[in-house]
Amino acid sequence: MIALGIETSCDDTGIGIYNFKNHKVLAHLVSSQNEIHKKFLGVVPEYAARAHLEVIDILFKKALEKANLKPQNLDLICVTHRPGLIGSLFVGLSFAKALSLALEKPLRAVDHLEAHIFSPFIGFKQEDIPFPFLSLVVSGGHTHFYLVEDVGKYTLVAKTLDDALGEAFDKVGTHILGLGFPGGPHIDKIFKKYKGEYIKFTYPHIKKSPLNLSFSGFKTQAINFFKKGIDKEKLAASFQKYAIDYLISKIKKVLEIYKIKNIAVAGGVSANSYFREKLLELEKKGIQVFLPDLKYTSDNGVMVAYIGGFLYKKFGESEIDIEAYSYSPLQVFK
Amino acid sequence: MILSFDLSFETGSFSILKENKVLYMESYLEKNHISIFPKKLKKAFEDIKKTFKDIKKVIVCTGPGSFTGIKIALAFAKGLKEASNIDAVGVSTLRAYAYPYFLFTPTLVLLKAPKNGVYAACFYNSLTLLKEGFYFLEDIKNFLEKNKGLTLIGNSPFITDLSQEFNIENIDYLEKPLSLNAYYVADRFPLPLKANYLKDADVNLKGLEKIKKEFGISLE
Repeated sequence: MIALGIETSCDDTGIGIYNFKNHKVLAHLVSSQNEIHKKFLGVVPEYAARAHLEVIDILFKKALEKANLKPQNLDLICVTHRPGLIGSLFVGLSFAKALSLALEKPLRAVDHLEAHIFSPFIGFKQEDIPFPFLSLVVSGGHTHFYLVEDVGKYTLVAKTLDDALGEAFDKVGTHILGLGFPGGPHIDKIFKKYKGEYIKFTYPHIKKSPLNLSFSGFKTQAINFFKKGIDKEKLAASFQKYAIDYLISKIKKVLEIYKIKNIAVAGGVSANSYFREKLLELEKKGIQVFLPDLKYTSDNGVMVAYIGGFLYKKFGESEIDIEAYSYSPLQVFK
Repeated sequence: MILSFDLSFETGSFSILKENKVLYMESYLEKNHISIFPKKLKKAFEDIKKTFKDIKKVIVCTGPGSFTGIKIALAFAKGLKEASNIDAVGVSTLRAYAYPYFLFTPTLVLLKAPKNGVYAACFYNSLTLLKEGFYFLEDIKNFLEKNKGLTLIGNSPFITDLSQEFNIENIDYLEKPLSLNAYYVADRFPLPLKANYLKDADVNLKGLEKIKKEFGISLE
């Protein structure tokens, strides 16, 4: 089975083609809109949707060329339909529905989070995915822990109560330190070169739900340090160190409580160098860590095709009138 | 076989034609085009016992109108085009609305637009007397003062007041299904498959303002 994946939930247009016969990625194309949004220091939803519409057909054609396929060779059309920017989701979903009808191939709608959850296993056969595992989706929109028992069987076990970690990185990097948009990669770049001492950030205490997380306090501390005139590089590097150390401490707690030995980490923040380093240290303690290939950490179509194939196998195709949702909890939709 | 469709406003419509004969035509009044349109279209093809593979050409209204409707329509048209490598052309929603009036008389089209404005154009056969654009009411009044004997058409709520103020008798203010009009216009006035928004996005800077306030620092 050859599956097409279409991802337009935010500001990256992604088209991926995945062959389930040999578990090979045949095409992986992403068009980033950073240049469009950087002057606004954030994603402008209407511009994002317009940009998706401009490039979606071009990327689709290029992906087919790269995979050396004709549209008729596709067996399944997978598309992200939630959660995300609604206008952007509409573009991908409408394009996918037309392909499905015209090619007479099944349509499979996919949850964006679900696609990220399985992105560390791209290339794995379904029987090789180590269920149950703990999934941490950590990006600009999410810092969520899920217990994943099977395809389509997810339980939310902990989440951030305010900012997502990627969002906190961007607010500190872009808005406080003025490093440019998106802020996360700029902070990481500084961190890698930084050799000095760190300024201490304190951890938040969440009494009622100790597994949940909070990052707004880190942001406030960063503002206060900035106002005190702390050196930008020191501040950026310290923020990264303490925010990641805090997240690692939560991961350890969740793994311990749920008695799970496998963790799969996905989302844009999983590209962070210090986070990757700290995660790999967990392996020394008998934890198996699954990280996506760096090229699949941010939004992409391959992850949509990959989980779409499994969902199709288990739940069948989606109805042609399936809708898009800007927000909805993770669950499987027919 | 030709598929022509329009999702520029709440009234969605599509027509399936072969050799100038209408095989199927449907319109519906629903905002939720992403869900309703593909479902109705699929059913229509089943009803007439044809498949999407029979489509040789796609015609779509490219706007102006609802930003969302335009994007859903164009994404769908692009999908059909790429799947089957068929011809696909756009048609101005304003010109489709003005059909067939503009062939015989200067026709001013006023369509609903945000911010108390209108999307407007004035056509007379192949001439364009007022360029397609987003206008405020004052601009339209100035145009009407200088141009008499027009037919006034569209779905803008300003039409009835303007017709009274400027004594215009030829008016048509009904919401129209445009897919068939688009089909008739497409041969003479084809456009590329490009959205015709006519209005820039209103960039929401509320988030930035909040951050500025929260951080107490200048972002400039």
